Amino acid sequence: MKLSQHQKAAIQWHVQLMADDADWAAFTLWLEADPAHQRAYDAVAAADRVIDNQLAVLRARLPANDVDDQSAPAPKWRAARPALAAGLLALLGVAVTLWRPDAQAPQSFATRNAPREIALADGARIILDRNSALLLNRGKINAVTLTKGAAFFIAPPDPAPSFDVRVGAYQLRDIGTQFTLGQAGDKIQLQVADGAVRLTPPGSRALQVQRGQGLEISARTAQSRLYKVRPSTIGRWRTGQLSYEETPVTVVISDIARSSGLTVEVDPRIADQRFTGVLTIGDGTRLVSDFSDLTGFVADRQGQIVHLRPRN
Amino acid sequence: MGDDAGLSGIFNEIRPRLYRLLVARTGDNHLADDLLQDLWLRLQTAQVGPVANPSAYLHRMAMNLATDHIRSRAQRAVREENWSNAETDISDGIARDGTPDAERALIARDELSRALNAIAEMPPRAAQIFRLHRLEGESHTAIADRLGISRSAVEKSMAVAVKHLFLRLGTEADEDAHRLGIDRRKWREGSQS
Repeated sequence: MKLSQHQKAAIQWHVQLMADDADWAAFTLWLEADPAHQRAYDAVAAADRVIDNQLAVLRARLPANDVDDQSAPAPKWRAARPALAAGLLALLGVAVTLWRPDAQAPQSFATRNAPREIALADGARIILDRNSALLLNRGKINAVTLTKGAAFFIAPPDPAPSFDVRVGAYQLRDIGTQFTLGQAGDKIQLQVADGAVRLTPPGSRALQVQRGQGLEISARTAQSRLYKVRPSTIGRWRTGQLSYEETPVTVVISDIARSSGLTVEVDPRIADQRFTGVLTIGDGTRLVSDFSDLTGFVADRQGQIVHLRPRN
Repeated sequence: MGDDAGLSGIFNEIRPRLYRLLVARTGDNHLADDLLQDLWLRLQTAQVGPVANPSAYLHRMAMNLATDHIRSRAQRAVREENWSNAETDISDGIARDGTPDAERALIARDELSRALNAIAEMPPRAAQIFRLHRLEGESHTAIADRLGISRSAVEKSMAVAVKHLFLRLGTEADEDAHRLGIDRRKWREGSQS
């Protein structure tokens, strides 16, 4: 590989500038000597700056405790080279990802009044909301079946999927992502906080839902609605709140139903309205009345079933 | 404010040198002024822990501000070029949200995977030294002591590491490679044999 003289010099300078005793005056003179120096250095500095911007993720992906033993991910071809230093390569072969066969029995998780976090390999996590349940087969791709309620999925930012999630007849694959998936009544609710999710409805082609998008699908009618959602509000139930900005009322109702443990039905006349506001979950018992106070909707309650309708 | 006040004092002392460096880096007096002002503001507001070498720290901070400015200018130019494509597109069943937020996330993910590739492609010693220095924050001197090698050996490995980053991530690397008639893919394959 040939770099230009300027590029080579720029790399040399960049390395020297990392040291505390760098000669900044000499570097300034070098920059001033030729505008091409400046351009070459811009490209080198910009490339290295990516490391600063991605530092937290890179540290998580390449933990310090394996720096010395060189078990960091490395292409296989390198093993064919002669060892540069004794022992450095000895552990290369150990960097085999643990693979659990999918054939084992799934683990079952269920929650009542508080969310629960499930830690998975490679930094992936699931936070299961209140009154929710799922089945989990751990693996390189974690197979999850959401059987009740909602969960927040956190995948490491990697193009390879960490989750294969089933909800009813729908299948989801993440694309390096954070998202919530929920179901209430016949509605499936998906909100993507980061990255993207590919959702395959039964007998239909896949949809891709991106960061900042929410998708509501009726499993009964297959009708869907795509709406905008502020990523920071997604999965706020983890911190005891429900937060909305111009969110369809039906989406809010799904959250309230799950958090309160009630069945909430909504009058078709208000189903298409939007709601902006924050609700505090608490023990879930005040959610319906808080929501009706904020919106002016009337809540008719019969046992465990609440019917929301417009006033008048 | 103890350390901040100290840093501000040193900032005032070396301000002319930082200005000259920023002019040399950006080729633009006004931009250099703006970046210095930005640096000063950050010193007033940021929580800065104890700094071993304030002058080096301030120089590096000035360079990073310049780099960030140049990077965001380049990304803006690309975005404006693609302006007509930046609308929400729900054609063929795929919904894409073309907001800068979504785009930023895409760029960040792309950068992350390229950075991981660059690190994976580094020779083992360069990768080790790169990680100790850039991810763990160890100084060149500390790494030299730890590995029992000379500082210039550390710097040589760091230069190899930076070269890999540059080839994978350099904003103008593609352009330059094109101009120089270098096929980056060919080089990568060549390096594996």
